[in-house]
Amino acid sequence: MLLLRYTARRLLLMAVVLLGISIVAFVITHLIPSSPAALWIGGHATQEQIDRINEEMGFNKPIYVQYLLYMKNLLRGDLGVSLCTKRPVRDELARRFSATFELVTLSLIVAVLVGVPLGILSATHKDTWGDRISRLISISGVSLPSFFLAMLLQLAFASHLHLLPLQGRIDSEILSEHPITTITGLYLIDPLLTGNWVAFKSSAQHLILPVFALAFTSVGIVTRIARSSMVEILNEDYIRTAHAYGLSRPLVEYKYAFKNALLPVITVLGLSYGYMLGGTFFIESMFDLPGLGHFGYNSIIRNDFPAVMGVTLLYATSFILVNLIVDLVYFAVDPRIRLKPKND
Amino acid sequence: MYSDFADWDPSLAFSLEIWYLYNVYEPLLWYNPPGSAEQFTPALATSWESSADGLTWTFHLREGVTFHDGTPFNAEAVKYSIERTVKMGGGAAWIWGAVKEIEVKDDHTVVFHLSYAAPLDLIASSQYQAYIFSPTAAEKGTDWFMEGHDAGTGPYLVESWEPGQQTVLVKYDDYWGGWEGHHFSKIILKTVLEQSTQVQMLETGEADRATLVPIDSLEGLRNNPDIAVTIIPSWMNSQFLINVQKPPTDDLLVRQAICYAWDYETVVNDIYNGMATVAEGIIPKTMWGHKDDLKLYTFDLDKARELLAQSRYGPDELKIDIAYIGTSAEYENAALLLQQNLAKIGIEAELKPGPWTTIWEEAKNLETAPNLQSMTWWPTYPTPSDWIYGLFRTEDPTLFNLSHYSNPVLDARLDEAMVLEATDRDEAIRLYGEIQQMLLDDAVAIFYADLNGRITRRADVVGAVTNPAYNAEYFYRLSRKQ
Repeated sequence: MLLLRYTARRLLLMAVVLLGISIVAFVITHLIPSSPAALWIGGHATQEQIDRINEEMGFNKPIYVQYLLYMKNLLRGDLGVSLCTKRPVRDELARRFSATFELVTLSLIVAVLVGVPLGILSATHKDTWGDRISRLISISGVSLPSFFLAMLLQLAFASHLHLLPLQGRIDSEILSEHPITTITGLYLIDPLLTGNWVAFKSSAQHLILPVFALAFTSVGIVTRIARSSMVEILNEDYIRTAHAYGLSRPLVEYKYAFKNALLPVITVLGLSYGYMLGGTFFIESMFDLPGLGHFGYNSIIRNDFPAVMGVTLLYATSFILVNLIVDLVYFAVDPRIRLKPKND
Repeated sequence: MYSDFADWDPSLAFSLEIWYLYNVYEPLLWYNPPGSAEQFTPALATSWESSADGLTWTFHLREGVTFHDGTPFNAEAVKYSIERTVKMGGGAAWIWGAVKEIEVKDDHTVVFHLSYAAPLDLIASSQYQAYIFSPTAAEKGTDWFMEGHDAGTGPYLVESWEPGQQTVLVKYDDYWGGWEGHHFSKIILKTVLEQSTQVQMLETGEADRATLVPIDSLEGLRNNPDIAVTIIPSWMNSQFLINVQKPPTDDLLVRQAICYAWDYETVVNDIYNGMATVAEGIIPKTMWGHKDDLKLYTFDLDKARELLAQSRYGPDELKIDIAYIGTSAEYENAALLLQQNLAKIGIEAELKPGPWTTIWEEAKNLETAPNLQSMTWWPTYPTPSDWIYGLFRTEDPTLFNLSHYSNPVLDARLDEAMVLEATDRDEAIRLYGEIQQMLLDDAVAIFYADLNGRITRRADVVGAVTNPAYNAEYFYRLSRKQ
């Protein structure tokens, strides 16, 4: 019951936050001097064409009228039409969703599978060489900008060592000769479902560098938090008591301490998700992955405002939802929060 | 390709789409590179003639041609294509403005009746909005095109389009030109956003051609034996338009002084690294109609100071602003150099870089317009009028005439010349020559660079013939060196 009320309240809050974001994004994109009609027409537009498009698409109406029209359409599920690609924004977002979903999900998994063990082991083997190396890795992760890392990876592994592909989601020839039947849109899942091993292998190879670049920062953050959280827990009285009682070290560390150390890590994962969404703008552009980040980047520099609004609202929604899930997971794993309800 | 294709409808497609339009569709005539023996190569029309008054144009069409969807090509298709393009009014549809009526005389003869004389042969060779497509296919509408379908007669057809990733063209077996000799059977146009990535792909051989190689990478590429860099003439040129209505550049003497303060040689040799030549007025030297003995400005700071001394503006009123596309290293360096030289003659210049969409909007309105505005222009179809009409004709509201220049004498001469292009080309050329000098005398812009294009390709891809009239590569001519 409590959980339901909590969730309902958070969802309501989400709606309010999204409303605020929509206003800010709309105002900014409409106040920047630009000519959406000329963008739509392309090349050397003529005045008649611009006037006609301004009329047809309502670009000369006052800004608050345009905003209300936008919101009215939004509630009906119509996100407008992209000025650059001439397609409905909703279709563009749907089409590009899978590339970003694949990239971000894999990056999160890597961040967890690498960052958590690294941090925990770092803490249990504090001040050893292993610990020092992992701390070095985590500092680099946090301080290296992801796009710079992307360029270095491309130069090293693609251009010089020829070990991994330079860019793209899949090899051009393979895409042309072994086309992927679209079921989920995920280039790792669909080929498996249809037995298209060639395409699967190529897609997997193409994801290695982008995932590394995107995940590296989060690996750094997760490692640091996991380590410091674990160190703190290991110094707690109850752990010392457990040692005093003679419980074996692995049992104490990996069963009791570990679970408690995870709590801050879960929070940080939720925030990392936000960093990753931001990182998709650079990573997808550098690696030519046709996802939401690439689309968002192009839309912003051309001031394609329906597209900018679409990407902004979608990213904001998913970030808020992910953090809601994180908080609900907290409820599930931390009995202290569950059993001692806060006053509403 | 630095970006994906947005428009697949040949009646509307207007910019980067030229890369597939040029290979998948055909117009009635192809314009030949300047210096060729003939001005045109027959494409879908094999011969043509016009009446003496330039009002009636008859095109005789090629026989035995089919569209990619199997529909036979005939005069009906020509009439349909052009009428549809004009009706939809997108892109450069205005080039057909003189056409009153298109008459299908028989299956292979089409007659254009014009309401005023116009050079229909030049217009029919335009790189945009002059392509003939299959009526049966086009009936399915723009949405059908937008799925990545094509309806052309050209040597290649669109096999697949993965949005955001790549377009694959394959050879059309029934192409009327035949497939004798060596040709590529498949072309993959990949979308690669970053310049550095394009360069790397070219170096590793993953790409045979890169379209957006930055000028500073060229040296390195030239030294690579597997890569060929060819500098080609183009009809693109760059200028800084001078606002003739905003003080202090509303004074002719100030504008002329600025033109004398521009270091023409240094900009072209050092900033553009040889990728441009010094411009002579508004029309590129390689375009027909360019006047050869124009009175030009040179880099002469003393002359500039002399003119400024006579200006009605005192030394503390000589402040100007210069707007340009911020991401262009060439514009920025040229503007910085100008700023330095202007300081030497007593003009204080403020630099205002920005994205095109923003600076264009600001430049259109006199309240926010700068004194100097960067501009790069190229024609839609091969005519000198494109520059003059687009940039200097009286405009209200302002679109591209960012000098805010209004000269009724020029407007009249331009209108006359455009009509005479069809009936008395020599007289038209004479008038265009007058206009070019007028623009220089009024110092409406710093005309500083005729830009060169560049083809950066793997050295084993041969056969390219460069043609400034079309901003893309004609793949049918290319082959791999055996």
